Amino acid sequence: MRKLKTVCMVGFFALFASLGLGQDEIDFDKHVGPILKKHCAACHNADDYEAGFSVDSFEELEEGSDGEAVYEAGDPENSWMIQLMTGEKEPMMPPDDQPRPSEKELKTLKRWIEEGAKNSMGTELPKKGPVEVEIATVDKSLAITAADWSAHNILAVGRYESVELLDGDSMKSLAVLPHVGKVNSLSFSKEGNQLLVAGGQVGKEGLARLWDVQSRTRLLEFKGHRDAIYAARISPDGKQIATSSYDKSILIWDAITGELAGKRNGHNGAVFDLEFASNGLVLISASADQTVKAWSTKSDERLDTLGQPLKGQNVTAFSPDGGLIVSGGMDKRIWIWKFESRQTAQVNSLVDSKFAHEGAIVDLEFSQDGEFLVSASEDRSIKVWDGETFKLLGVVDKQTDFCGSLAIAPDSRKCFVGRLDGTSETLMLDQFLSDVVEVESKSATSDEPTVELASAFSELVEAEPNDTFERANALSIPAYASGVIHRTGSGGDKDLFRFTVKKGQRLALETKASRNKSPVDTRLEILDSAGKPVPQVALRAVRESYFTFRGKDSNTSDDFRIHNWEEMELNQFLYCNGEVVKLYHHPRGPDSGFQVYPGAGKRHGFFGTTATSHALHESCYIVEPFPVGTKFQANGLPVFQNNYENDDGANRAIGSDSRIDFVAPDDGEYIVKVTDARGFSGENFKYRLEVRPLQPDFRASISNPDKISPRGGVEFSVSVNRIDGFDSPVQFELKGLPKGFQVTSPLMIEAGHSRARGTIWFDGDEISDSKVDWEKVRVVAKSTLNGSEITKDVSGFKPIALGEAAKAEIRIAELEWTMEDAFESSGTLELIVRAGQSVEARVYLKRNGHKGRVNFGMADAGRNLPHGVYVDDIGLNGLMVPAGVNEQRFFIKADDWVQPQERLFFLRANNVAGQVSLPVLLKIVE
Amino acid sequence: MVSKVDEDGNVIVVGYGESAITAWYSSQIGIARVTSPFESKLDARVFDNAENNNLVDELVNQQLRRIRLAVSPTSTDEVFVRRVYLDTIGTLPTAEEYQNFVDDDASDKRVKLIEALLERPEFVDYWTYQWSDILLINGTRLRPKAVLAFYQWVRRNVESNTPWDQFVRDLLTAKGGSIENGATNFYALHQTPEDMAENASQAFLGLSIGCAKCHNHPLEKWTNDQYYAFANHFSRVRAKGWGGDPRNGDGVRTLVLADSGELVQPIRGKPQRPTPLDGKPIEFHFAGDRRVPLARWMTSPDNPYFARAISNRLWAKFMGVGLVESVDDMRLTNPASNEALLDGLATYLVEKKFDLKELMRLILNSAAYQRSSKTVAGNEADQQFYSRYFPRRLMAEVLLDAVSGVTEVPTEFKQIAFPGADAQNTNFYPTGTRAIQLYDSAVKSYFLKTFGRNQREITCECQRSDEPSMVQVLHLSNGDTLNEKLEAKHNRVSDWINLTYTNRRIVKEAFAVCLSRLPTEKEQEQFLKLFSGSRGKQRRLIIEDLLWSLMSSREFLFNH
Repeated sequence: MRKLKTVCMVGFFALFASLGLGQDEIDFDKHVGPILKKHCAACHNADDYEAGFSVDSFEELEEGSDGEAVYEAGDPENSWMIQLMTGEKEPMMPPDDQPRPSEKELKTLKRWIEEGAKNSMGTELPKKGPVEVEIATVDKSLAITAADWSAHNILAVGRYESVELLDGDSMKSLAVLPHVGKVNSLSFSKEGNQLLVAGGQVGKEGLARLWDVQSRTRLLEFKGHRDAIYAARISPDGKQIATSSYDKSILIWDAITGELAGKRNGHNGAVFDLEFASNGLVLISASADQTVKAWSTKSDERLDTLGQPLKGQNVTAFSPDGGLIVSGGMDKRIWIWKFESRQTAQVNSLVDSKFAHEGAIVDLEFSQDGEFLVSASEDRSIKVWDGETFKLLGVVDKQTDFCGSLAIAPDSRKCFVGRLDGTSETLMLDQFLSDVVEVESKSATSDEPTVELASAFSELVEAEPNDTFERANALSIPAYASGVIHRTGSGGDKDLFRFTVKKGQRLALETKASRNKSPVDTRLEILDSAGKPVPQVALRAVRESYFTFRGKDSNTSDDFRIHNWEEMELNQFLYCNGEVVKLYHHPRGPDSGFQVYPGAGKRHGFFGTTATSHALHESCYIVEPFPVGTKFQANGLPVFQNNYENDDGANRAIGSDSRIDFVAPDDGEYIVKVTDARGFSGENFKYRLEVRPLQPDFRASISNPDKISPRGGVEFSVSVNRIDGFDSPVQFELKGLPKGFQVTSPLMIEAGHSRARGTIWFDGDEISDSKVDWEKVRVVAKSTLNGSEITKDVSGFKPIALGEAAKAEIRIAELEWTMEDAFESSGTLELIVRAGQSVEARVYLKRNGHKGRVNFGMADAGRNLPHGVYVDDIGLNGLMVPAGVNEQRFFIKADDWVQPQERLFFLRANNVAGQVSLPVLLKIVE
Repeated sequence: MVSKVDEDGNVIVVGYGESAITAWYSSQIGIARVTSPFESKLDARVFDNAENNNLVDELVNQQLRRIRLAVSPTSTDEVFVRRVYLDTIGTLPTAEEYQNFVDDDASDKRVKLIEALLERPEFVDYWTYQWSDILLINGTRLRPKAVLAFYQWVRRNVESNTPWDQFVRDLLTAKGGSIENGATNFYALHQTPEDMAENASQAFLGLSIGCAKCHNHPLEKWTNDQYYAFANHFSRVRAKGWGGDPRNGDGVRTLVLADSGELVQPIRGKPQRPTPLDGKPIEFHFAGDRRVPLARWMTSPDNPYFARAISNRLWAKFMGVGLVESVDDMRLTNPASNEALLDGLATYLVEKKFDLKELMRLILNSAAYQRSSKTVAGNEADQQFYSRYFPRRLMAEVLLDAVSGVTEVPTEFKQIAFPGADAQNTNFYPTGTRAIQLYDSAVKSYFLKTFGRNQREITCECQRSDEPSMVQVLHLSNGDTLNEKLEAKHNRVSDWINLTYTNRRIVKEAFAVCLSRLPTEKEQEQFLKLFSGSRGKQRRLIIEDLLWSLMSSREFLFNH
C-alpha cells in the first residue's frame, strides 16, 4: 500500500513541478541530460567511468571527475566542462573524431549552469531513506494474471509480485506469498500440498518458486530463464518441474533438489503454456510459433509437433480422461487432437478445430469430471463448452475486462474468473447445462400446399414499360412470357412480371434465350411485394479458407485447392464469393484439390447459385445452411444471406439461361425480374420465361459395352438425370440376361448422385445359344417420389457379343491371400472397413499376353465405392500394377461419417480392353 | 544532393539546386522546399532572353533563373529530327526524311514536323505499346485471344485519340466478354477487389496503395480503412468462364456484376463503405455499378492525382526525366522537382479535355524539349531541371526496330515464352512486324529481354529497364541480332552493292540512316581509307563493318 502511495506522490510532484517550471527555465532531465548523454555518455558512464566521471545522473555529475567539480554553478565561462567542450582547454571534448555539440546545445548547457546548475524539480525530494515494503494486503485493482484451484479446495490468485491463497468455499483470504515481478503461472501439485509460482521480470529473468502450501514456506527457487516465465508445472509424480518462458525455451528441473535437469529446445517463439500428461511421460507446450509440441519427459526427444494452428498458441491442456489435447490462441479457435504420442514419437491426429471467440483465446480449462471446457478470450467473453462433444453450452460476455485466468474447483461445479481489471467472480457451471444454445444445422422444409392450377400454360407477351414494380406484367401460373431486353439509357432494360402464390408453393422459373441463339445472357431475381430481394437461405460460415492455386474457371468440378482442406469433410458446402459448391472428393495429395459435385463435368451450384471464376487468394468458407432469420451465436465468421436469384442455371443443363427453384416463404404476390447479366441490351435480346410448379422426377439411362471377353468381365454404368430438385436414391435392377451372364443387380445410385457402376461377367468360352434373345433383358429404375414408389423402364441396354480373349485377368484379394487363393476362390469376397479407418487389400493380375503396366485410375480407382470411401494413398500415377509385376497392395479408406452399408465394388483396368475384377462386397461398419 | 537532415532535424544544405524536405507523423505530411542557387556568375539577362515558346518554357525558365542554371542552346536540325522521331513515333527517320527536313527552309518546319508525326501510323503503334505496358498486356498472363482483344481495344482508342479520362473510365467500367470487349481483361488480370484497386490507382493515379492493405503506412497518408473503402468499389465484379490458367483454356471470360457482396476488411471483420481516396463515400445499398462513381471520381478534373499522373508520365517519356521520379510514384511524400510546372501541365491537359496529343504538342514545341543535350559551362551538374536535353538509351523495342530498319532485315516473332522455359507458338505476327507493333511482352526475343523491355508482370514503370549491362554490350558486338542481319543475303548492304553506290556515297548513306547526319570530313576519310582497293566479298565485309560500328556506337544507341 505504502509503495503505491510513494509512486503517487512522485507523480503528483512531477505534475506540480512541470506546472511551476517557467517556460524558459532549463531543466536537467529534460534539456541537459539528453545533451550529455548524446555527447559524453559513451565513455563517461557508470560502467566505463572514464576519467572517474559519469553523466548518467545528476548526482554523478555533481560528484565530478575524479572528485574534481566539472562546473561552477552560476559561472559557465569558468566551468571546466564547458571549457573542454569549446576547446578553450585541452583535451578537446568530445574527442576529435566525434561529432561536435551544436551551438544550441552548448548554449543550453551554459544557461543551465548560469541558472544555478540545479537538478530537476521532481527528484529534489528526499531521495534516500528506508523504504518498507509491506505486503499484508494486496491492492485489488492489480490485474489478476494467474489462478489455480487445488485438490484441497484452496484457490490461488496471482497478481503483480504476489499470490493470494483463498479458501475455495468461503473465498476468505488465507495468506499472501511474495514474488518478484510478474506472476504469470500458478500451479498446484496433484495432491495440492505444493504450489508452484512462476513469472519474473520481463526482459530480465524468469523466476519460479515452489511453496509448501500448509506451512507457507518456500521450498525451492528456480532461476535460469532469460526472460519471464509464462508456465510452470509440477509432474504428476512430483519429481519434475517444467518451466517455459518468453525466451523460447523449456527447462526441466529436479523438483527435489531444484537443479536444472534438462532443456527442451525447438520452439521458435515464446512458450506460453505447458501441461504434463497424466502418465507423466509426456509434456506438451503451446507457443507463439503457431505450434503445440509434445516432448518426452525422460529424454530430450520431441514426440510430435502439432502444426495446424494458424497463429500463436497461448494455452494447451489434456482432457481429463487423457484422450485429447486441446489448445487455443491468437487464431480464435479451439484445436482438438487425439493424444497418440503417449510414449514414443507418433502423429497426434487433428480431430477438430472450432471457431470459438472473436478475439484471441487466453485460457482454456477442463473441469476434472470432463463435463465442461471453459474458454476465455480477449473479446471479453467466456464460453462454456460440453467437455466431450465441444458443443457450446453458454456464454458470459461483455465483461468489464477480459479474463486472463480461469480455475475450476475440484468439485467441477465452480469456475473462478480473474480479469485484467483486477475484478473476479465465480461462475456456477451447472447453470449452463440446461440448454444447448448452439443452433443445429437443419434445412428449411415445409409442406407444400395444394394449389389448383390450370393445366394449360398461359401465354403472355411483355408489355413495356414493365421496369417498375407497379408496372409489372401479371402472370397466371403456369405461364410462358416472352420479352426483349430493350436498349435503354443506362443499365439496360428490366422486365418485371408479377405472380401470386401460397406459402410453401414450389415453382420453377426458367428462361430460354441463349439456347434459342438469342444474344441475351439472362439473369432472374425474385422480389417481394415491397420490391426487396427474397432471401432463400442463411449460410453460416464455420471455417474460413482461401484459394491457394491460380485463378479458377467457372466450369471445372475438379481441383478446388483451398487452404486448410484437411479440416473439411465431403458433402460440406463451400461458399466462394457468391457461388456455393459441395465437396465431392478429397484432394489426392499435394498437387490436387477437392472435386466438387457432381464430381465430373461442369460443377453444380447449390442454393441456385451461379458458377463464377475465382481468384487466387480469394476467400472462401465452409458454410452450413439455416432457415432465413435464424439467430446465431457469433463465431467470428460471416453469415451470408443467399437470395432467390440466378444467372446461369445451377445444374448447368441450360447454358447461360437462368433458373430459380422457388419456395414461397409466404402467401402473396411476388415479382420475377429478368435482366441481362452483363447489362447489355438490344432489340434481338429475346427470351422466353417459363413459370410452372416444380415436378420432381428423374430420367434413367444405362450404358454398357457391346463386347465381352470369354470368361471376362466389363463395366457398365447407370445414370439418372435429376429434374426439379429430385434428390432420392435410385435403384436399378437388370433381369433376363442370357445364360452365362452375371450382372451386378440391384445397383444403387446414392441420393444426390448421378451415376453408379456395375460389372457384367460372362463365364463361358462362347455364347452357346446362337439366337440369344437380348430383347428379353429388362432394366428398371425404382425410387420414391412424394412418398410413393415409382418404377421406370430403362431402355438402351446394348446386346453384347463375344470379343477377344482377355489379355489379363484381375482379382481383388484379402491381404494374406496368394495369387492362387485369389483366382481359385469361389463366391464373393467380403471386405470390412470401419468408418474413419482403412482396410488393406491386394489386387492380383494373371497376365495372358499383356506385358505392360495395368492402370486402375486415380481418384476414381475404386469403382462403385460408396461415397466417402476411396482407394487411398495412390500417389501421382494412381493405382497400378507395373510391368513385370503381378500384384499390388492398396488401401480402402472410409471417411468417418460414412453410414454402415454394403456395396459391391471392383477395379477396372483403363487399358487391357477395360477388364474388370470380380466385384467385392464392401461392408462399412461403425 | 542538395540538402540533408541531421538527426536533430536540422536541414543542412550541401549542394546546389532544389530539393524537398518531407516531414510526416502518423499519416500527416508536411513538405518544405530548399532552393540553393548555383554559384554561377550568370547575368540575369540570360534568362530574360531565354527562349520562351510556351507555358513549359515559362515555368522551366523560372526555375532555372531561381537556381541560376545556364541553358544549353537549341539543338541542330539533325539532332532534333532524330530525337523527335524517336520520342514521338519510336522510329528512326529514314535518310530521305532526315534530308528533307534539313533542307526545308521554312521557319516553322519543326512545328510542322511535330504535327505530321502526331498523325503517323507509327504513332499509333508506339503509344499503343506504351499503354499496353501500363495495362500489362502479357501472353503469360492472358490467353492469346484475350491478348489480341485487349491490345486492339487499346489500339482503337489510341487511333481515335480517345481523351485519357474517357479511356480510363471505359476501362474501369468495362462489361461483357473478354473477346468482345478487350477492356474487360483488366479484370481478368486483376481478379480480386484488392488487386483491381491497387492496379487502377497505380496505373492511373501513380499511387501505390498496396502497403495500406496490411497497415497504415508510415511513409504514406493512406490508411488501412481507406484502402478497404477504396477496394470495396470492386467487390461486386464477378466473372464467368476462363479462370486464369496462363497456359490453358480459351481465355473467354464474361464480366458480370453481382447485386450483393462486400469486401471484408480483415482488421475490422466487416466491410468499409465504398469511398474514393479522400472522396465521398457511396452507400452500401447504392443500386448501380459501384465502379461508375469510382471511375467518375478518378478521372474528374478535380481529382488531384489523375491529370498530374498522366502529365508526369508523358513529360518523362519526352524529357527523359520525370518531374516526379519514379514516374508512377506520385505520393505526397515524393514531390515534383518543379511543382508549378507539373501543376501547369495538368491544368493544361484538363483545359484540353484530356487530349494527350495536345499535351505532347505543348512539350514537343517547347524550347526546353528542343535544347541540345550538350552541356554548357554552368549546367554540367543538372540532372533534373531541363537546362539541356537528357540523353537516354533507346528503349529495347525501338532499338531492335532501328537495327532492323538500318539493315532492312525484319525480325521474326514466332513464339510466346513462358517462365520456366516452355514456349507456345503464335501466328499473330507476320514477317515485317516491328517490335513496337507486338501485342504482348511475352513474345520470345533474346534482344528485347536483354535490353530490358517492360515485362508487364506488375503495374510499375520499373518493369522496364534502361540499365546498361555487359550482356547488352556483348550482344551488340558479338550476338546474333546485329551480325545475322548484317550478314543476311538480302539487306541494305546488298542493296547498296546492287545499286552500285560509290564508297563515298555508302559512307554518307550509312551515317544518314543510322545517325541522321552526314559524316564529318574526318569520319569520312577514316572510313574511306578502310575501303581502299577492296572488292567483292571483302568490300561487302567492310560495308557490314561500317554499319556494325555505327550501330554499336553510343550515338546510335542513345536518343540525344
